[in-house]
Parts: sequence; structure tokens; C-alpha cells
Amino acid sequence: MAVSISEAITYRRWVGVANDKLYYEDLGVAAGNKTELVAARNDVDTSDQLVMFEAFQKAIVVNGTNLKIVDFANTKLTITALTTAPTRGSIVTQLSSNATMVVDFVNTTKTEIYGYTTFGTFVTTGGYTLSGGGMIPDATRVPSAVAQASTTPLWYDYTVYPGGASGSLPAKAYLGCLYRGCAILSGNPNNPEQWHKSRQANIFDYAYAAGDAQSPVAGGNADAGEIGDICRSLIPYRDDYLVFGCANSIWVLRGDPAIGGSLDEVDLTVGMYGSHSWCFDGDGNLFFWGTNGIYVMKKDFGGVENLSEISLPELVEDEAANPETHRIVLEYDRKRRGVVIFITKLSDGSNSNYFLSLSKPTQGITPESYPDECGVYSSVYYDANDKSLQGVLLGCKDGYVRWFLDSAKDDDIGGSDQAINAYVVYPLIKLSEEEDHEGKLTSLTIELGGGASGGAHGDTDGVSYDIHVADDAETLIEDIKDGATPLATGTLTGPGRKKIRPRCRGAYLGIKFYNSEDTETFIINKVIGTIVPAGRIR
Amino acid sequence: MASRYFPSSTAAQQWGRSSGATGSVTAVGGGAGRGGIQYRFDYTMPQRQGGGPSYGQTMTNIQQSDEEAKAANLARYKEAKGKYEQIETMFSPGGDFGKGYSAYLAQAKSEDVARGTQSLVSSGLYGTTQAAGLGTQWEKQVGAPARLKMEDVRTEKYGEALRGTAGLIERREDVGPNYALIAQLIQGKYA
Repeated sequence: MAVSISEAITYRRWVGVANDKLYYEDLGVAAGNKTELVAARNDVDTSDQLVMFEAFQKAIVVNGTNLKIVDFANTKLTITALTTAPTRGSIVTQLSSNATMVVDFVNTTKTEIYGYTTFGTFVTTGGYTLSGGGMIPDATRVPSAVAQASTTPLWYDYTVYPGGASGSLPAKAYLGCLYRGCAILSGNPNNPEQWHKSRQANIFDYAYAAGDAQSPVAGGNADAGEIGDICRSLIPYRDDYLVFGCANSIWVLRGDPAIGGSLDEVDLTVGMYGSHSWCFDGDGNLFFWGTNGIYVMKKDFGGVENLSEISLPELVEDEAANPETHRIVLEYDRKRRGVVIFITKLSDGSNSNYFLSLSKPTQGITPESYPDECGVYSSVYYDANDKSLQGVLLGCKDGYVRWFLDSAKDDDIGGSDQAINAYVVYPLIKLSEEEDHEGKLTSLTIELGGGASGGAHGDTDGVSYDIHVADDAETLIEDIKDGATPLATGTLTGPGRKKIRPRCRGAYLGIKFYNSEDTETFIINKVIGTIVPAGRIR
Repeated sequence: MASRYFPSSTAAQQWGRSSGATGSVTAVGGGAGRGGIQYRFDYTMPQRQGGGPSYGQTMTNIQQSDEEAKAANLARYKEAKGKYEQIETMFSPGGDFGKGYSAYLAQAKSEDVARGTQSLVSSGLYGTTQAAGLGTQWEKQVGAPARLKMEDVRTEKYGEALRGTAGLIERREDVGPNYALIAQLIQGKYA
């Protein structure tokens, strides 16, 4: 007997919000295509904080009083208002067409039924009435319109299920996530310490204290009798735990509070900056921008560690980021094995960013900045079905979605490209083993990447150098930062070994390599110098 | 003077008391103590003033005895029925049955909710709606099933009490006049 197998795959779609509009990846047009969902236009306010999360083939938009749903799976039936809505999870059938659906949601006015069609096709033909699910009146309503999410995603208000038995949503919310099949909302300015968990597998039920294992729960993060700390971020990790990043503390919820869960403080002295200022690496370690810099919380909740306190002890003060004016976003770049920290001023896109390399050979924190147009407001690692589209996607100030491209040598700022001002300062070199003696750099060999010119390996473009010397290390680094006149400067071109004879004398030496030309980048494999003693410091 | 024959002297005497006749009993027939003896009762009936036998008095006596017996029977019946009705009241809705168990449930709820609250504090969830829902949850899981089971038992016991009362009512028989005796008396008057 022949066996016919139809392959069924899951489709991932990208959804983004910009300039009060919502866009989604329309796979019917092309992978990577960005199509506006016109029904959502001006229903969201991107000048206000906005968070989106995925739940049950929907994208839930949390934007203050604008609580919305983008539905990619259901069928929408528009009808004359019912007295009683069909029960959620029940079967609704249409006469004559015999189409059936599993009811998922009914709007507040009971004029729209959303459900997953399991058989047939719903139609608007007269006499083809709907019945089932305990709806009242039964077998009288004919859909005046039928809309399929497979054609255009459905857009509707996120409310509780009608009928009076599903509680109520918070009046406002600015934080949201999915955890253990429950929608979690928080960030109501009137009760910023409260979080609200929906019923498991039913994001439309917020009737708390139902007493069963899937009951909705609301609460705060504090010891008994205290008011909770202000929630700033909701961070779910699989179905295992949910981290609350609060203004002055970090809490973790293990399991489900409705049955057997626990809520414990991880740190009562470190807070989290905002709703996007965190990310997980591939090992489940949580990185975040906290009270005094960049932190990591290991997967075992053994406490938080400040990663920037040694190399950048004044990081927070220097950046002077304020949640009212700045957005801080962290994203784990799995291709480059590191965490990118984006600090962007909301008003103009000016930014100051860092790359925290987690790869052992290059561990450390390096600064980077982008053109204002490329200031990052949001990011996500998109694990697209199309492998060529996989990567970190950056939502930028000018509304474009960008990503890091190894082959590009300039930044795309929309209408044109902008050269990248790249530089590196090599570790300062003490030119003498004696504390009060100087040394002299007699020759310097720089091995530029690319092997021989042409060839199989990509060749470096040119690179300029500045050589500074000073009697102490702090003066040296200050000169480099201030752009003081170097003792020696020049430009090297082409791959391979380049030798120069700078004849620089001093106690400490610093070398800066840089390139700010259009469509140029540089690779340095090795720097070798010859140093000879030069007597006492004058 | 009239005579009647009885198998024993006792029977003759009983008849004399019930009829009001007076006279003497004589053994006749075979030797004394041997079979075949009969006892002849030579009697005269009491005469009312103005003459004639007092069958009315006899009837009155009979009726009085009958009514006394009936009254005693009714009293006994009422007492028994009253006991059954007491049992019905005990098991009827709102009766005394289960009051002790209800008090026990209230105490158990108080203790369980307190323990549950402490557990929530230990797990850091005191500041959630779980604390407010402990009582409801207890009722759902323990209180309601226990009360329903107690209601089942009460209903069963109430049914048994009702069946007992019905059986008592069913078993009672109303006893009418002894027409055989009356016929004998009449026969005796005109003998």
C-alpha cells in the first residue's frame, strides 16, 4: 500500500513595530519580506514603551493601555452580538457547510469569534447558522464576515474572555512575557510592583485564586508584609524559572506559584535597568545592565557578578544613561560568541555600545558606536527558517532593521554608507625593567593580515598608526585619548610584514592603529618590536 | 332458675362474671376428676328494679372494657410514633445530625489555612493572591467533599427513619366490637 506523507513544518515569522505601525514577515510574498499590517496602524504608540512576546501562535503587544494581539492561526467570524459566548475550547459548527472550529477567544461585545478551524471552510451564506459551545442564541447567527489569519494576520484587542468569570486585565501594562504557557504582565504605573499571571494555557483568564493547579496568580516580589520592588523586566528561561529584574533587586520565580512554586531573592542590592537590558547566552547565564555596570547571573543562581567593575569601574557614571531618555538593550550574538550592549539615546539615536566577548581567546569588553541612524532600540536573534536570514536583527532609530554583516566595510545609514572609524590601542609597554629607567624602540614590525597580496585569503586594507611615549602610564593613555600629537605616525598598506624604525624613547610606549576610510578595514596578525635600554628617566 | 353446662368450673365462673348471672356450679356426669365430667351452672340473672335481666349493664361493661383496651393501644401507638418522629427530626435538614462534624471541619480549615499560609511565606509567595485563595482552595478540596459525604449519610439515615415511621403506621390495626360475644349474650338472654 502506498503511503503518502505530507511534511508539516513550523514557520517562524518576524514581527516588528515602528513609527506606530506593525510589520510582519509575509512568507506568502517572500522570506524576509516586511509587510505592514494595516489594521494595526496607529493602534500602538511607539513613543511610549512597547514590549511584544509570543504566545500560542500570536504576538501579544503590551503598550500601556494598548494591549493587542496579532493572531497568525485562527479564523475570525463576525456575527451579530450573542447573549452568551460559546465556551472557550468548545466546538462551534456551521450548518450545511459543516465547518467546525475550536473556540479560542470571543471579544467583549460577543460579535467576533476566533477559533482554530479543524474542518471545512466557514462561509457567509444565508441560513448557514452557527451552533455549539453553549452559545445563546444557538443556531441563529450567520457570519457576516469570515477572515483567515493565513491570508492576513488578525488584529484585535487583548481582553479577558467575556462572561464575567475571567477576572480582568490590569488597566495598563508595559512589561510582558510568556512563562510556562502563562501570559505574565507587569509595569502598571499605578502598581509598578505587581505582576499578573494568567491561567496556564489560557491567556484570556485572570480570575485569581481559582484554587486549582493552573490558577491565575497576581503578586509582588517582597518578604511577607512588605510592598514589592518595582518591576523593570520579566525574564523567562524556558519553563523552568522566571527572573524579575527590579529597580533595586533581582528575584527568581521557580516553577508555578499556583502549585509548588517558590519566589526567592537572588540579590537585594543590584537592580536592573530596563525591559530590554538583559540577555541569555548559550549556557543559560543571564547578562544584564545593572546598578553598577554589566553583570552576569550564573544559571545556578549563586549570586550576581559584576563583569565591568575592574576594567570599567565608572561605566554607569560615564554613560549616565537614564531610563527616561535612554534605551539599553543586550543581545547575545551566537555567531560571534559575545554579548552586545547597546546604549541609545531615544531622542536622536546617538549611542555608546560595548561588545563583551565570551570567547576565551578574545575575552574582554570593547567599545563601539554606530551612526545615529543606526542607534539600536531593540534586538532579537531571529532563528529564521531560511538559514540565510538567521542572525541578530537590530531595530534602529530610523525604522530600518539591520544586522551585522562581516562582508560589509561601512555602515548602512539608509540613503548612503558611512565609513567606520575603527581603532585599537595595544596594551601599554613598559620599555625598561627598572622603574626609573627608559627604553628605546628601535624597530617595529607589523604583520598585516591576508598573506601575500591576492591569494586565497582576504587582504587587509591600509592601516594608520600613532606611537606615543610618556614617563608614566596614565599620562600615556591620557595623551592617546586626548588625541595628542604622537611621537611617530604613518600609514601602512597591503598585507604582509611591514617594518618601521620609529626610534621612540620613554618609560612607557603606546601604539594606536586606526582606519576611518570608506570601504576599508584592517587586520593585524602580529606586532613585534625591538627595545634597547636607554638610561635613566630624564 | 336456669342452667348451663361448661367444660370446667372456671369457664362457668367467667361466664357468670361477664354476664352478671349468679348461682352455683355443680360437677355432673362421670366420677370426680375423671373424663366426661361437665359442670352445670345453675343461675339466675340479676333483676333490675321493675324486673327483667340487665343486658344493658352487660353491654356497658363490655363496651367499657373494649374502650379501655383501645385507649391503651392508641397510647402505645402514639408513644412509638413519637419516638420515630424524634429520629426523623434528628436526621432532617437542619437537624442535629452532623453538628459535631461541622465544628470539626471549621477547626480543621482554620488549622490548614494557617499551615498553608506559613508554607507560602517560606516559599516567598505570601505576597501573591495564593494567600487569599487558601480558604477557597481548602473548601474545594476538603470542605465541600466532606460536607457532601455527610449530606449523603444524613439523607440515608433520614430515609431509614421515614421508613420506620411508615412501617409503624402500616402495622397498626383498628379492632372493632366482638360480634361473637354479643351474639352469645343475646342468645343467653333469650335461652
